[in-house]
Amino acid sequence: MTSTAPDRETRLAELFVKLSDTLVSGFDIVDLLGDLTEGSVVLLGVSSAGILLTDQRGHLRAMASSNETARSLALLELQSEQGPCLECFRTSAPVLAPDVSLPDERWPRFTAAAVEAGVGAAYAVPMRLRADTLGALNLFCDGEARSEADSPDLRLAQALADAATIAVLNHRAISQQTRISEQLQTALNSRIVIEQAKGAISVHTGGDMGEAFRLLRGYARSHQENLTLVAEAFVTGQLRFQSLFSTSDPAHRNR
Amino acid sequence: MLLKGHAMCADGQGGDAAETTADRSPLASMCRLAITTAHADGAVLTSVSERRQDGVVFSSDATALELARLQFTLGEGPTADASMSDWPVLVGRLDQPGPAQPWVAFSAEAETMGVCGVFAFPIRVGAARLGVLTLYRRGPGDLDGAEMHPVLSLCDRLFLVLLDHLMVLERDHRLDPSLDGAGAAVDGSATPFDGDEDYLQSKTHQATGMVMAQLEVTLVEALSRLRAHAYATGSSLNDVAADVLAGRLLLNSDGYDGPHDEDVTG
Repeated sequence: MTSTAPDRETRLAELFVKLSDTLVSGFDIVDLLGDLTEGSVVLLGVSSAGILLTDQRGHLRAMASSNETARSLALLELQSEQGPCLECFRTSAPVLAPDVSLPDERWPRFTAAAVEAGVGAAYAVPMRLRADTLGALNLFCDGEARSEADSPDLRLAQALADAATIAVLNHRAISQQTRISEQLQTALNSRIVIEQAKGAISVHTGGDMGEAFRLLRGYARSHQENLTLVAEAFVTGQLRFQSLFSTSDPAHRNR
Repeated sequence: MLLKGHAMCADGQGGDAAETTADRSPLASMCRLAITTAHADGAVLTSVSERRQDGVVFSSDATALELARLQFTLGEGPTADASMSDWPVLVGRLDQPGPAQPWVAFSAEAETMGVCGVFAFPIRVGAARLGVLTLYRRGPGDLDGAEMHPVLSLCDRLFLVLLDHLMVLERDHRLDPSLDGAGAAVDGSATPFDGDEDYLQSKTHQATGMVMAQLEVTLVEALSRLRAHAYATGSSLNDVAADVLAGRLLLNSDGYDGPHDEDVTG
């Protein structure tokens, strides 16, 4: 299930270029983490990936998911407070479940849901900075269970998780005094703003949240603007929804 | 000691928009808890509402109230900055100005009041902003982690409590008839989602955005309607959100509506 070598190298290079983009304007943490999950899928040869972050007050939140499977399993883990990703976060160590159908007393509800979702294997690596664990990178493989020997490259997975950690810790302007709490809080808040914007835009897409997000992201990228700022502009009435369906013409702005 | 708020706003409604809460209301209790948790000397909770301009919702003492009034008069200060920020504005030492503390007039005045530290926390969910909780200290010093984290958690919970409080005010002043049906439940004494970890899920944020676009109101108004409907039907906010997302529920501008089995938009 691995990609061909050039594909993978190109993909890896693209990902590193995106990570270095944290220094330019228009960069957005939610956008980047989304790219990381999608990149993880290709690079690690898994079916889906997701990133969860803590608010440091006892709550983990889903920040990015490469597809609906990853998203709903993440939510299930959060709601039932059990699962490989949660275990990984709690123990600050990688967690491997190469055969999710095998009962595991740590996560019975997750087992049932994962099997039903057609998942065969699940892995999680921690997002860690020294003594702090900020979250985890979740990986799922559809279909048959895997053997341990056939696990995705977990060293690469850890490297991707480390890159995500660095991005989260640095996504605020470097000149501002930064704290881990502040980085996490603002990233999580960005996520909420984007959900609010998706909901608003979905009214114009017949309820399709995925399409709403694509329109939002497309607008932000074509105007080279920060995704969260664009989302906020839509939900505060500064940008009109008609702008989403037009070309990148600044005259459409309602500022 | 609670002081009756002064009319700080330009809407001419006398003490209305600046009224403070009853001693034992959840709002007042939470604000006092924030004071204790942060080892502060006082707090003032100000609201930003489309219909009622900036007003004081709660103040623990005269100094706290004056801090809010001062910023309103001067048009500058940590509270004002926090109302537009996504992270608290924290000043451990007002007497040490720097690039992060540009409020020259405010700092000078606050110091004469004996205030050394000011910590302003935005009360908001995503882009839905309700107000700011401003704590003050007479002595110098930053908030440490053990103080910050619980206060941040409290601010999360404070959002819904403040929303309920503002909804009651709106209903009582007949500014929004659609909230009438919410009845006695919306009296600020019930916080059904307290302690519910996932009390605002992604779907609730999405539903808020949907209602906002459907009714062409603000995010806060959209949340108010969802909340009112939840109270009126004895449902949870998350369940109402799920209904909105699924098209089973369409809130309309005349008041919350029941389930729609046909002609659902989208």
